[in-house]
Amino acid sequence: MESNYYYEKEVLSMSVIETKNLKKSFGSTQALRGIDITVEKGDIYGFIGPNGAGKTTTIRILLGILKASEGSARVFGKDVWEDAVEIHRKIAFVPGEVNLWPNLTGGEVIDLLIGLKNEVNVEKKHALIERFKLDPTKKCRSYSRGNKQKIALIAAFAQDADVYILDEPTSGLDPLMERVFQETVKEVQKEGKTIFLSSHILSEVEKLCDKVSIIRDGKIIESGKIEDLRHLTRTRVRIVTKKPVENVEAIDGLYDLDIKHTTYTFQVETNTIGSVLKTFNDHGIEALESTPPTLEDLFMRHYEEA
Amino acid sequence: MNKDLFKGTFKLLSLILRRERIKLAAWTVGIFALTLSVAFAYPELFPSSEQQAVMAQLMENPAMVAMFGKPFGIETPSPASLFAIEMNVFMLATTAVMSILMMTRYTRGDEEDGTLELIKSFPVGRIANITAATLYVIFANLLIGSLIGLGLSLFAHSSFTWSGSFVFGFSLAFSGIVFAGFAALFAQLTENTRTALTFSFSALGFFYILRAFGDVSAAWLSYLSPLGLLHRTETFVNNFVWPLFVSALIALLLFAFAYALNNRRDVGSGLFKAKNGRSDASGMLKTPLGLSLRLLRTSIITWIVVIFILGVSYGSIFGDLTAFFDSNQQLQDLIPETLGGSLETQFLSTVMSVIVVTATLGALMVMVKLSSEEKKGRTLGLYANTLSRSRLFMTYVGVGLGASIVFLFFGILGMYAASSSVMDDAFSFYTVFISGFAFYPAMVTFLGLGALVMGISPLKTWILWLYLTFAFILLYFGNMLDFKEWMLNMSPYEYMPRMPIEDARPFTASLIVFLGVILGFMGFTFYRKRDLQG
Repeated sequence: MESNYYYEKEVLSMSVIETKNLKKSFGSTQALRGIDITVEKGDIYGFIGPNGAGKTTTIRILLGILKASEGSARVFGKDVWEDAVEIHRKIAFVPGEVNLWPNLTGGEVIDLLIGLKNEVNVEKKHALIERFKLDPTKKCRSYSRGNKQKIALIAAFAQDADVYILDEPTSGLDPLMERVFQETVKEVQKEGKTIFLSSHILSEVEKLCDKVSIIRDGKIIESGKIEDLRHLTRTRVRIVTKKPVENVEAIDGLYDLDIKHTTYTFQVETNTIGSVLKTFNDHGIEALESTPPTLEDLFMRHYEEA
Repeated sequence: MNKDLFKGTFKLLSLILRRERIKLAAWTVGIFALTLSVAFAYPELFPSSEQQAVMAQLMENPAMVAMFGKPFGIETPSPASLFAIEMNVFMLATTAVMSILMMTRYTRGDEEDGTLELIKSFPVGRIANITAATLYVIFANLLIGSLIGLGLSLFAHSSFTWSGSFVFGFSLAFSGIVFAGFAALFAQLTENTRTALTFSFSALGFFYILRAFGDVSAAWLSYLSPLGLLHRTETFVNNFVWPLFVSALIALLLFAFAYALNNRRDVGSGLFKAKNGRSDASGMLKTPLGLSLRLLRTSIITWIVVIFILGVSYGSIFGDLTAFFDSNQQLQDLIPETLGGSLETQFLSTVMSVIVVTATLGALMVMVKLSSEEKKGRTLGLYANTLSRSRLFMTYVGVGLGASIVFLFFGILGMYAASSSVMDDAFSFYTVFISGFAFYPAMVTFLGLGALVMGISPLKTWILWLYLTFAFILLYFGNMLDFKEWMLNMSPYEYMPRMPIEDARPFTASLIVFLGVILGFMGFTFYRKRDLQG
């Protein structure tokens, strides 16, 4: 039974979503220039980037709607293009732009989208409709954008899937519904499911995700656990000293320095913060404020490089 | 208080002209070229006055009257008057179709897409948008009308007089303007583009059939139809101008009504409101076939009704046809008995061809719904489920094929029912049936081509409408115009036997069906391999 043991082990360690050097071009425009993503089972994986960076294109390739020009993309170890239907048995999806049939009701669309795959779990569906406060009897043409988004979310979460692929799932939702969404995602994760979440709302990604990849211009520019990424960012510090500090500009690792008398405001690289503080301490620190690094700073830094 | 109602109209008009410049050019060139090429052909087709007289007599028979309208000036026909007899009603309907599409696009279409909402946030008057759309359609029609007037009088045969040419051109323009008025009105009443278009095209169909009835049996009915009314200009015979004025008045009333509604209602709403519905889907809806049938339900029923009515209308002319032949010995001598069958039988296939083309159009529209679903981004959610591309594609192709049989059958049924009630020596059901289904292999080819176009891209369906129009013109005018052999060879309908007067051609028929299957299979392969839009 040794071979079986290895097989089991391999399956257990296999990534749920894995792309290698994924490229896609539309005519002469290169939408993706080599995307590498690895999502493990049970992750809430954040995929963030500005508009037009290639988030939706990547997701559409993962779903087998678009064909990759180069590279490989596998879900559950299967090829996303060849085995699309097989893969989709265990995938639930919320599109970035929710287009519904104007003459069907919300309830009909939810049933339709679930029913193409599983038997509809009526209890689960009704619980979700209740939770998201949706009136399912209205025709889709009369729903607002937020309500259309709710329909897509309910249909996705009512499915019995292993992976949830969500493309900017909170666009159009009010803050209350955003919270309902976040709770639902966490519950789904507790059941051992995997969530792939594309977004450009950083606070949402920071709140929910374990791992993130930042995409810009069709390339992944940063990737890893959220805590690890924070180390790459700078802490904002405000210090008031007793004596003025000479030659502050010469200290390594300070950015955006602003001096008013003996009040110094600056950003500092997380890995040099110790030595910087030591220098200031020699001049007697009277007050110290520091703002923790946010993903937004990292994000903005990459934006500015563009 | 309403002094700013029209503010910004001209800016919006220039915006429409910018957005529409290519389409406008295509319509203008298309209509102009079609009219002029037919006008050039006439003097060559009927050089002698004897030939012209025979043609004029042929046009008097009820089958022809129903299709082409009441012929004027048959005592002293000229190439120009024959041209008007054959082309006037057809071209009146063409500009009507153009105007309905244009008007709906820039009123209800923009409203549905949400661009109107954006425009309304700028300092523009409440009815500036509909005014700009109206001015645009009027401009397009007058442009086409004047160009045709100029073109015919300058370049065509000497019988195409100045006054006649311009009356002909402007009758087309005013037909377009009147139907733009209907389109503007229906755009106010309905809540979405599809329904607005369905209403407007139903109105056009209704007036076409009303005119056919009127022209064949009760002349006053024709005056109630804008098509019949404008045909009463009696172009190149009397060149009456009063129908132009009357139709301008009708258009004015329609627009006034539409404007009043537009000024009162909320943006995005219509008079017919969407109702609430079920909170759960029926079991049927959860399959691709159930979904497609549900989405197409209204269209399919509408098409069945339209084709059935068309069949009834054309079937009912056979009674008059018998009477006409009985009273016209000269014509009886003209048509050789050796062709077999009664004189009515000779015309069965001709009349049937209109039903066949309508059924083809309907079936294609049903099938390419898949493309419009893709364009609107609604297949994405389905494919993220366990639905395969092959299954959804085959579902729509299957529904299209099914629809083609059902549509054709109901047209035949309508024609059989009406003809058997008006004829003394009625056709058997089998005769009518075989006359229609003799064309069926060609319909399969069209559906195959439709599948190929869908397989390549969801944005290319216009190719189908263009090709079908071309094939329709060959079929509709084939009896009268001398089309070149290579042109006829390009339409699958032309390979089909005119049954029952001609014999079945099983070999040709199987080849044509095979061609359709090949095209369809190519479409299937392309569809499975290409990037989807959404």
